[in-house]
Amino acid sequence: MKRNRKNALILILTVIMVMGFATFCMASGDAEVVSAVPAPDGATPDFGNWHVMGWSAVNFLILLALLYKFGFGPVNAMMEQRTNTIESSLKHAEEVRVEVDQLMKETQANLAESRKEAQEILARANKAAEETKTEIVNKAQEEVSVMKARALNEIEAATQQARLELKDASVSLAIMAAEKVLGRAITEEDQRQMVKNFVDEAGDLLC
Amino acid sequence: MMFGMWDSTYFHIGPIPVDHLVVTQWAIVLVVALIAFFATRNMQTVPRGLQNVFEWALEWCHDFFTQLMDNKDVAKRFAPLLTCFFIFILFSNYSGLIPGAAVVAGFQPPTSNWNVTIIMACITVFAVHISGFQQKGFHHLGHFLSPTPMMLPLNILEEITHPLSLTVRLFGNVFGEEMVVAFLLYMVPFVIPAAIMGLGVLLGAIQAIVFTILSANYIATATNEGH
Amino acid sequence: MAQGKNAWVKPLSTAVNLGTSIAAAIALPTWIGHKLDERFGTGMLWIILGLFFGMATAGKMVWDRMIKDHGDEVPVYRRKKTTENNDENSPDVKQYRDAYAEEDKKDDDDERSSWW
Repeated sequence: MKRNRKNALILILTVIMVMGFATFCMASGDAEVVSAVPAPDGATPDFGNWHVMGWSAVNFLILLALLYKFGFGPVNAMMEQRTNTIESSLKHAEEVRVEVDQLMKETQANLAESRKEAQEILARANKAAEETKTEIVNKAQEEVSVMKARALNEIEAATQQARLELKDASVSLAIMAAEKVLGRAITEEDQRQMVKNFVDEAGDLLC
Repeated sequence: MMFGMWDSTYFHIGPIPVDHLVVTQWAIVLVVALIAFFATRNMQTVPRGLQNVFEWALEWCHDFFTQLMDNKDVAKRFAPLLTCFFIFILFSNYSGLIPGAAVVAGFQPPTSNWNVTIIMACITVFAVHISGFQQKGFHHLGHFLSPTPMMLPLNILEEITHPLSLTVRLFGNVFGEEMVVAFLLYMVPFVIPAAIMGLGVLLGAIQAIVFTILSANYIATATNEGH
Repeated sequence: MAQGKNAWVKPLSTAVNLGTSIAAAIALPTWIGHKLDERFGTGMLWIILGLFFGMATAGKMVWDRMIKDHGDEVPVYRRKKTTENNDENSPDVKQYRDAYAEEDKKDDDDERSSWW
């Protein structure tokens, strides 16, 4: 409480008590005491009042019995029940936790295994890919070499063909030229023989 | 019509007279029983309302009084008795503060009469010796010769003084408070009785606690292995 | 009751208990002595005897309560020096040892010049 409030409260209480005492003083100033309640009898109770003793013992024991029946019995039972509930739920929670741990461990193991498997599969796939690659490369190289050989052969054949055609063409040209020079027609046979000898010599020179 | 005039009998049940005090005691027992009954009617695992308060009160009393005693099963056996002491004395000390306490016929705080308090001290004595005999058999009587056999008269006197002091302490406090309030109501009825009644609230609680703490101490002394 | 915030309950109960117990312990034998004196008419003999008896009982009750509550405490300046307690410069040991150092040095024979 704040100081002002506390002081105010103390002041009010003092005023009230002083007024109370003032009432007392004014009351005792009269010859006859006027009061709302009559004078109390200041006697202490007499000892050895066995009836009161007996009754109070009976009452106390009745209270004890009623408290046992309605108080301690149900309250203790409720405490026991509550303890049991809490204990059983704690035990249950413990069991569930153990189970969950177990499950987690299993899951971890499964996960590790599956990861290992996946790695194996990956490795195998890699190896297969490597093999296929080398195979393809080899096959391609083979094809390339085959094609190269074929091309070379074709070129060779074409060159031979071209040489023969060139030979024939040059024979004809030589005959025309010889005709022109000789001025006459060369008979088939000896022109042919002449030209052939010449071309063979030239051909050996050329080729 | 004031406090101290109600020590006569109220009515008779057959040949047995019933005092005003006894009627108040019946009322206290009824109130406590009703509270207990309604608090434990449909008990639920998660308590609410009155059941919660009642359980808290009983649990607090049980813990408070069992930590005074070292022996655990003795504590469990006597905790209900001590709780009953505490509740009864508390309610009857506070019944003197209810308006009309010593004025209305049939309403007088029970503990302001030493017949009642001496009965409760006797119950404590029985509890002490019964628990001692249960725990230690006949060696319980050996504590009378405890440090030396020469101290036997002192020990006997101490055994008598304990319940006597319990009686007189409780009776003196409540009776004195009631008497002072009665006289003040006669002389200065305005505000000053309220101050004494406030003191009476504090003292009522203290006396209830002290009575039960001492009973617990005596039971603990009788059942520990010290002697 | 070793709870921190409820630690005033036990000393309060000890105080209230000791007050009325001492009063009751002294009053009861005295009253019994008074009754015996009235019966046998021996003056104040039994009253005085009852008074002393009551005081002895009250003393025993206080002693028991003190031993029960504080019986295991040893004053600092009387603690034996064990091997664990070699801390000679700890403040409480030092304080008490300094306070009693001068007295310990005094010899009784030097102090007393005559015995009155």
